[in-house]
Amino acid sequence: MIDRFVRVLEEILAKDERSALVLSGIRQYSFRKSMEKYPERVFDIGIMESTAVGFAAGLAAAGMIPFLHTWTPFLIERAFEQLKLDFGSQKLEGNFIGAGASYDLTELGESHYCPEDIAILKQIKNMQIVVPGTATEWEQLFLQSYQNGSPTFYRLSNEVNHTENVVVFGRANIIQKGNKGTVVVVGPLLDTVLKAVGDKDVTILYYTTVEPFDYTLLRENISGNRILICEPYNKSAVLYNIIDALRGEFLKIEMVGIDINAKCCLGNYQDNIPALGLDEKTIASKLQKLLQ
Amino acid sequence: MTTHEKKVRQLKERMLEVSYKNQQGFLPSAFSILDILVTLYYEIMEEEDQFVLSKGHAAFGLYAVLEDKGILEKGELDTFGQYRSRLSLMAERGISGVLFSTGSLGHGLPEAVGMAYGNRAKKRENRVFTVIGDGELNEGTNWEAMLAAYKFGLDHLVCILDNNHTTEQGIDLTNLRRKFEAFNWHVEEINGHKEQELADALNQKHHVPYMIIANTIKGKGCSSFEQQAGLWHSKAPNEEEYKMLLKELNEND
Repeated sequence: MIDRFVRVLEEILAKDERSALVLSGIRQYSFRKSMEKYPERVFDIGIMESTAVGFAAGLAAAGMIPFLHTWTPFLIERAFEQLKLDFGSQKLEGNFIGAGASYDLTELGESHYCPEDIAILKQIKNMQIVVPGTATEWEQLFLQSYQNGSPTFYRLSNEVNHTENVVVFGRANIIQKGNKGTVVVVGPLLDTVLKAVGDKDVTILYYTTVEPFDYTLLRENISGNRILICEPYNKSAVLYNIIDALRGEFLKIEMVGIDINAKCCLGNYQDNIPALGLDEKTIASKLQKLLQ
Repeated sequence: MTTHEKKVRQLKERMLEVSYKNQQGFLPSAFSILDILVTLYYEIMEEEDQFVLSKGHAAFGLYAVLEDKGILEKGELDTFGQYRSRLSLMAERGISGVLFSTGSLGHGLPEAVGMAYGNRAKKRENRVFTVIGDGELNEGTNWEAMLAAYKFGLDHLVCILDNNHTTEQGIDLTNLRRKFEAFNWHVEEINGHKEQELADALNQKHHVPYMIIANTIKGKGCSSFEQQAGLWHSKAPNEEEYKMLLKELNEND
């Protein structure tokens, strides 16, 4: 996804003089050509995430389209108040491209983990949240949303699906229809879910935009009252949306996602997937239990 | 009494009236920056120039100026802090003349730096003025923004520090001039209640970002505020106090 992000941003920077890419201590080498070509619009502000977000709000107020790229934990957790007040409350247009989703930076330890990113961002009014499953999906969603007048967070992850879907910002996809239950899966967990589901008679709904959440598709396509929610970050970020969409219904819910007290044991991400509860076996087991 | 002094007095009287009627307002903070605001809005700023208030507690003062200038509707200040009013105690983006929401300290300067940068990228030549408080200088974002402003060569950015010594309650920032100069800003230090000093400082040419240390008195104009700024920080006057404060305002001249 990172390579695609660099390519797409370079294209936007070349054609739209309103675009400005603000890096905060990251990826200066990847963008070296753009930094040379458009020094006024592509630069590293330095390692000052809170100020970088406020600065980006100033750019937006001046009529620019800011793209701010830095590591996710420092962007979301250190600069939360700036995201909330300078962008969310003021409904300024801005694009935040986070690197290092959940436990992508496995070997770096706790400071660089950010599995709570989506749950935190969902508390910010007007904040749009995109969790693509592939680089192509990211590109589709990005191009549809980056200048729609609201702040948007794009979660770039190392984990990607092999399955490609044509995705539309703000809408979910029906992957398959079934009768005995519904699986709601977010972004890069789709491949694992498809393996875990196998030939079970369930509906699979695929979400790549989690804010705004597609209520309509869920209401119109839910099969029965059993729902398995599968998220690639801390579990339950979209739980509220699902209960809200189906309020008044008697629901039986099971969740797949990272537990808040999960322990990542360094090494590589793949090694940690079972302990984080995102593996095929865990998903299949939870689905089996739900359908019993 | 000069035209400037008359205007400042008129706006302070208006704020006292509204504060008394609505039982709202951070009057000492607003009074602290009134001379700065009047100099900016009535003498210095041209139509295309932009102003960013960072110290949200002084929003009342900004509203009073915006109403007097006709940017807010006449009489709108009477709704200040009331149910369904647009005018919250801390100014919010969306109100005419308010470019950024205020309230949380340390946000205004980074936003002003970004806006000044964006203006230049859009080939605009207007100036960006911002007022920050010395109390909020404890927030690290101000110093980060100063680093960025110099790095980006923002010579059309002017920051006025309302130095009313609030920071002494927390970490007292001594030798402010040396600190700002160490960040490579152009620095002037003036009396923030003297019209001529303000005008001279604001008219100065500068080739790097410009910091004006405006030494001020919190609650300037009413001796009760000046002597007990802490007590009056968020207190609105009752009828007796309102009359007393009006009298103090007149005696001050």
